[in-house]
Amino acid sequence: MAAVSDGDKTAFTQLYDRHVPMVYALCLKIMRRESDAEAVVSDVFLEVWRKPGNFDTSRGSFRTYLLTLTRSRAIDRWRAAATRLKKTLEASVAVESRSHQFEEFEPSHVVQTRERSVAVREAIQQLDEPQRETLRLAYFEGLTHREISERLDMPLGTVKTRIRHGLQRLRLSLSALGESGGLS
Amino acid sequence: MDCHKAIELVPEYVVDTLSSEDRAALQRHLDEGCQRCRQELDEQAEAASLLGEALHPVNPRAELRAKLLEQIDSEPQLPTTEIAPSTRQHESKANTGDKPFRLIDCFPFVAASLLAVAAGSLLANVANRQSVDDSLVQVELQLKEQWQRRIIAAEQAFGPPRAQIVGLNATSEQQFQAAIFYDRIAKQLHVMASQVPPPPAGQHPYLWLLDPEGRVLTGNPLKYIDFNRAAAIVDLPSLPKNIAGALITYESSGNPSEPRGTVVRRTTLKQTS
Ligand SMILES: [Zn+2]
Repeated sequence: MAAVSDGDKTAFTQLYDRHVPMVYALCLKIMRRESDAEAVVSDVFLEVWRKPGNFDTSRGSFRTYLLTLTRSRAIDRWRAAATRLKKTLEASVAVESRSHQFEEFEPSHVVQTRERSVAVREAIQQLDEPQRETLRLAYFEGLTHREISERLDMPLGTVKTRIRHGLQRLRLSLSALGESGGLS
Repeated sequence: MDCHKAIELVPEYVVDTLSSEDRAALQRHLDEGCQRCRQELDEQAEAASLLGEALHPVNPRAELRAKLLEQIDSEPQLPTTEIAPSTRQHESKANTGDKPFRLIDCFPFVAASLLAVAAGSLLANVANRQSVDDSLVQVELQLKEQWQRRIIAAEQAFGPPRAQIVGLNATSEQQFQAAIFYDRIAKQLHVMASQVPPPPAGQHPYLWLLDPEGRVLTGNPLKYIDFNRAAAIVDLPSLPKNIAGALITYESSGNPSEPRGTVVRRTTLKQTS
């Protein structure tokens, strides 16, 4: 098979370079291990390459599409790995200590922070702590509302309310960011 | 499910904490084409994505980039956009008789095809960082649009020997044209049908592919891309060998498992090669 044209690849490379620090950061946050995070980054960018039709410009920015795709692929892998681990444990087979996976990751290359990133971080800071914690468990750990309610020892209704209010607040921040399907 | 209930589930849908039943119920509501709830979902998804965006960006190892580009290099070649002579023949023949329906099983027109259009301007501006950013914005914006145009163009663009064209006899007297392509890499069937008038309020167009006995192979909602053209992207692990016909119906309930509504267009798909 012949290679795709150079022009196509250049454009794809530019998309990769522009967005990969954001994608990789999210993968690391969810997967925790560099090798696992890299695998998800590959999944995500290959999917963008192979299924461009899945990105619908009428439904928001490319960045949002990419983050949603990344989060979903990472959580899928994380859940699959957790299932495997559970099975392994059930079989009483010695496994590698998971503690390594839960170490806080120390980023090797922190790239320059853009103004928008600062604003986005401020928006997150404006959430109150219970909202942030609930959203964190859902978004980064992929826990179901039932699991969250068990973890935080609070009623399901409270979990739902916190998620709804937290997202509502973030949504208000979006308008402050001048965000309307923005791409930069 | 009504909109009130649907909107209540949206926050948990975007952070993925719903039970599978609730999730499926909301998905059905969205698939019925409710624009209001769809927009609510898009906005909340955008809000949720701030959680990811707020992380400090981290560059992965350079090896990952190299590996990814290598993998892309090994993917099958893209079809060219030149019109093959044989396709032209097919075109002129088609225009004299029934409007044909074609099934083209071809190598995919993956992202590269779409990116290619914008890539020219991108390359021209590569010296200037700001221009590169602008060009990237263009690439991203145009991805979907270019793809849709590509589908239209593809009917002319994909010809033998790479494409396997299946001629179809339209049994309907109504003018009806459709292009169907199976993308082997994406494992998606792309359908684009013209002369599909908008349905009555509360109904949605569905495309059904049928086997020789008239049994349903796939049923998927069609989305209007302009006044009377509708398109669908169908995830299919492989192209069914026994596609023999297609139906377009207007359905009033979401996610029907078989055609129940008014049949708007009907055609046989008869393989000629
Ligand atoms: Zn609705």
